Amino acid sequence: MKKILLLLIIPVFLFPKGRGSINGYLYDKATGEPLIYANVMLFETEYGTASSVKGYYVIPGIPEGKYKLVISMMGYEKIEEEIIIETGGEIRKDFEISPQAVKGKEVIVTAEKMRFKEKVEISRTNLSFREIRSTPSFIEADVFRTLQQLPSVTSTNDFSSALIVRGGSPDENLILLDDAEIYNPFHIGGLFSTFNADAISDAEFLAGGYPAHFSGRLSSVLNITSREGNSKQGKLFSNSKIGKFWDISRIKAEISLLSSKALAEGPFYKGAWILSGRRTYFDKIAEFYTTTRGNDQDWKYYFWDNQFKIFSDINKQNRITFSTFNGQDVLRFKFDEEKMDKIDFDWAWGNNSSSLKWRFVPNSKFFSEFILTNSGFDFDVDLLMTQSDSSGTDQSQFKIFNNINDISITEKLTWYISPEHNLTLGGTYKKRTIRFGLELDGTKFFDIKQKPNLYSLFFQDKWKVNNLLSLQIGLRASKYELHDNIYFDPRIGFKYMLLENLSLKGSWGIFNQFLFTTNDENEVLKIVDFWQPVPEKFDAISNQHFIVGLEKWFEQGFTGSVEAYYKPYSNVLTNNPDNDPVIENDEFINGKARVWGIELLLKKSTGKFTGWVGYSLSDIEKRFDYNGDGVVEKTQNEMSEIYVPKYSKPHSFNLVANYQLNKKNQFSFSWTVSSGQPYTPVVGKIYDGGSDLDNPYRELVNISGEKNSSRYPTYVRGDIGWVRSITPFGINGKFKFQVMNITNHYNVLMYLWNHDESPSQVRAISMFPIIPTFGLEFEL
Amino acid sequence: MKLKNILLILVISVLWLACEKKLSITDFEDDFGYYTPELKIEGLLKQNDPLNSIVRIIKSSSITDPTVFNGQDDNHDGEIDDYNEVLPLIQDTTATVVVTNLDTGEEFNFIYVADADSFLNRERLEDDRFEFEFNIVHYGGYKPESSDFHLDTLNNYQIRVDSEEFNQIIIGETTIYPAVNFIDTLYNFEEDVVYMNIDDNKEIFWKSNLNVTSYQVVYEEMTMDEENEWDSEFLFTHISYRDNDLTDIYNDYSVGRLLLWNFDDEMVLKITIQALSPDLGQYISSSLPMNDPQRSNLRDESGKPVMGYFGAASSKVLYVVIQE
Repeated sequence: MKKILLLLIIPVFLFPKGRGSINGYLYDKATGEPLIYANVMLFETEYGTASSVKGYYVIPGIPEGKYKLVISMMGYEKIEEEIIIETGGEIRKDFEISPQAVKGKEVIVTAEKMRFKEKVEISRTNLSFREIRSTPSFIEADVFRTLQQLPSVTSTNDFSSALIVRGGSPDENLILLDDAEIYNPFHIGGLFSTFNADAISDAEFLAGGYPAHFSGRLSSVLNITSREGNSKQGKLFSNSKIGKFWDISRIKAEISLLSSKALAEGPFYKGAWILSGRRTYFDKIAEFYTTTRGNDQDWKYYFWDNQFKIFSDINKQNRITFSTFNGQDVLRFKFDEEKMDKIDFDWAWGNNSSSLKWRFVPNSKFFSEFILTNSGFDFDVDLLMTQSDSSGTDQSQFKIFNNINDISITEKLTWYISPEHNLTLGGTYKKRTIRFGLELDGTKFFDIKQKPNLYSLFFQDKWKVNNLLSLQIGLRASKYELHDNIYFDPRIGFKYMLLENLSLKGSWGIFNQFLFTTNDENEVLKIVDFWQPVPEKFDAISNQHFIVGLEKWFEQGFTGSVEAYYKPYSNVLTNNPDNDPVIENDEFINGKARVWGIELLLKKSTGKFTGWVGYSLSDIEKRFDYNGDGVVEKTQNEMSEIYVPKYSKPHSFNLVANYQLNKKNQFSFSWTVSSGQPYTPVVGKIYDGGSDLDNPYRELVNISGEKNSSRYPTYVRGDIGWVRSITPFGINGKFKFQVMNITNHYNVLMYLWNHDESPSQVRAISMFPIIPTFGLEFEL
Repeated sequence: MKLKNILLILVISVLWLACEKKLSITDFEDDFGYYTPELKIEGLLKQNDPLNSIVRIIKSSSITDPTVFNGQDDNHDGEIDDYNEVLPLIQDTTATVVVTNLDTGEEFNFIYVADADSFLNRERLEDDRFEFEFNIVHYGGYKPESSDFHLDTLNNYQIRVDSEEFNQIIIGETTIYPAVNFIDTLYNFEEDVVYMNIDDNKEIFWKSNLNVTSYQVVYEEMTMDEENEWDSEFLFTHISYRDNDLTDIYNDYSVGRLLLWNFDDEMVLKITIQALSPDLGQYISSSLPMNDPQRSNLRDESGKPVMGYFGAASSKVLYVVIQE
């Protein structure tokens, strides 16, 4: 093993002498925001790159000489500039590039081609702000809903925006917002994601085989970068000294059937700021409706979230960025009737995260990011029951809570050693505190406080072996405080250019996860996640990714890919149905799983007509020894030990299309057809008393057939959207109209059985019927 | 009615109808077609009330079974498909039940009795969702034929059920454990009565055989009627489990504890602790299917698990007087 590592690392230090480099940032001249994935090339050479999500580019190892630097990006002016590279010389060139309408059939090599050539990572999709905004969704644009249209992602049902990525459960997705981990990124039990699409700059989604600097989850990474804000066009103080330090350049408001949103942004001292907020108002509408009729509003539900980001480029080498996100759902109701006890129910849950990032670019060789994040998830239920009679008042209070606090320190250093080697190394310390407690009338039944801290180091080398073959080799070592051993996660990826526009990609890696959610896998609607650290008695939840695929560049803005994957899992944890309350630490059992699948994706990203078509074929199987008898077998009941999980959808087809008819009108359309979800059939009924020995006939219960052995009918849903630009009173705005489930297809959410009739009766509850929604957006 | 109200009702109706749909049972034939009804047996030996030991044998029904709830008042009691009508239809009265003391070899026949036991049924009133109606439901089961039937603690017992209707022989085994003993700690115990102050941290402790880990706790409120006679009213029941920390201290016993909260002063509670045999405790606490081999201790001739349990319970009563 040591020899192999040396062989991998030694070439890193054998970089050529007598060369120079160029690096810098690309910005939008109108807004000052980074230009993502712009094409940066030295004319008529093989040297080139694409700017990163931060707008940063670097071309190392250029032989000395005179070159023409060409920067191009669809919708922006083309930059051409002479540069002279000297031996050992480093040129720093930052550019502000003006937006420009695309003229005729002008061909500009966009960064997508460059990314196609450069990126070794497999199973990667980048969604731009534009793509997220233009995909039809439920009431509001939502990054999770857009991701659900990709072939590697499915959803559990219409009411959930949770991501099922290649057969992995939703807790296997690492969700990052400006590098801070978000634990429960949903509102209303998953109906909406917590991320305001207006404040998102880029959503990088990796459905597997991700590099070593990402860790802690088994299935996917969603790395969301929020917008930096408009550092130009200050409108309030542009002519005064104040404008140099702070100003406002844009205010935008949006009203939909769900919520009101506002976004403001502007320049800050050598930087910019952006603030966005959203709050739902159906509680206010209901309250208004009820009180105008002389009644008291006895319930309240709303959610809110806000994002704030500010940065300052202290000098050319240093940038400090602070970013924060807060979101909360609040559910309250009061129940007070004469014949009933008074009940006050207060339930609040939400996320908060903050990150402080120091970016240091001393020269073209190094790019360093030191990140300090604090992320939390809180879930608190408070139930107060008051009973009053002639003898007085009696109160009973029930509290349950689950809190996560995560403080992380990360250093990530990218070393552009040579055109052939690009090394990233770093480390993370995660200080986590997880609390789970129950309190009744001031008596704590349990208050479990765990500190499953995590230390990890990683390195990753992107090695361009030759013009045809590139490798990405990485290793992550993690020490989980509850376990004695050190976990090693090797990751290897390759890319081989079969033809000029056709590449073969592959990836293998080991992935470990140290947290999991204890929610019942079969629950139809999930309000919140209950996070738990992997207990001491179990090894980390682990899987391997074997992925191979072909990627094809058809033409400008038109790409296609086919990928096959296989993921064997070990130590998958689930609730122990035979949990003996007397035996400690038997709340969970571990098992195995395996997933395989094939995915096809055709994507068109430029022109008037954009969108994608995707199809996936997959198969999932889980294995648990539920009854602990040492044998794992299929049984004809709801605890079959070999089964297909609830979120399995063997076939899934997605079509997403956007058409820009003219400057004013844009139409969008999405169509999803997938296998119905599995369910456990009901085969009979019997009276049962549960744990009540005094009433053995308390209720009629289901006798179930084999777990998840039947499937609901095929899921079909088509959504359409229309966005029209409007200018009432000279204010720029947009009118949005969408229709969900345009064909009103009856997609089954669940079956409900009534055994109090012979024969038994069954009803189906559906997901969304046809629902039209509309909204307005204004910009000042 | 104003137009906007009509539109509102129309929209809500469309959404509602779109969301819920009654389906035909025949659409699910592929799901349940193979299923044939099976037996569920609950054999409960009561250590300190052996003659009220009971074996309940009931049958499951297929989804398409037309007989259990036929929508008619078959017994002419004014109720349709109530417990009194339904329970006789699902009980297997054709079985031969024999309980054997495996340590002494004594055999006891259990015979079907139409009024073997009863439970308190709570039904919500149709015209008031917060009011309940209580009625006692009597049901049939198998009880000891002979008044000589007795249970010896720490002896092992076997049940054998021969079902004529199902042509099946089912066997299970259990052990009789003694009742719990209350541990006199802070309170003033007077035999089976304990006095507590309303402000006390009202806790009760008991010890039982080390093999017993689960207990059923039944709460009743004692009230005195007009003739100065004590009467009890059922409040609620729950399962309690051994406290491992306390058990570690006592070492030779399982120790249980109960925290009484939210009871009024000047209240007399009757608390019954039933020590459950391990097989019964396992059956009650497990979420495995009722016929899982790790949950049920009943097997047919081929060794296949049968829904239900054969277990034992031993009761002990404590009266708690809560004082101001």
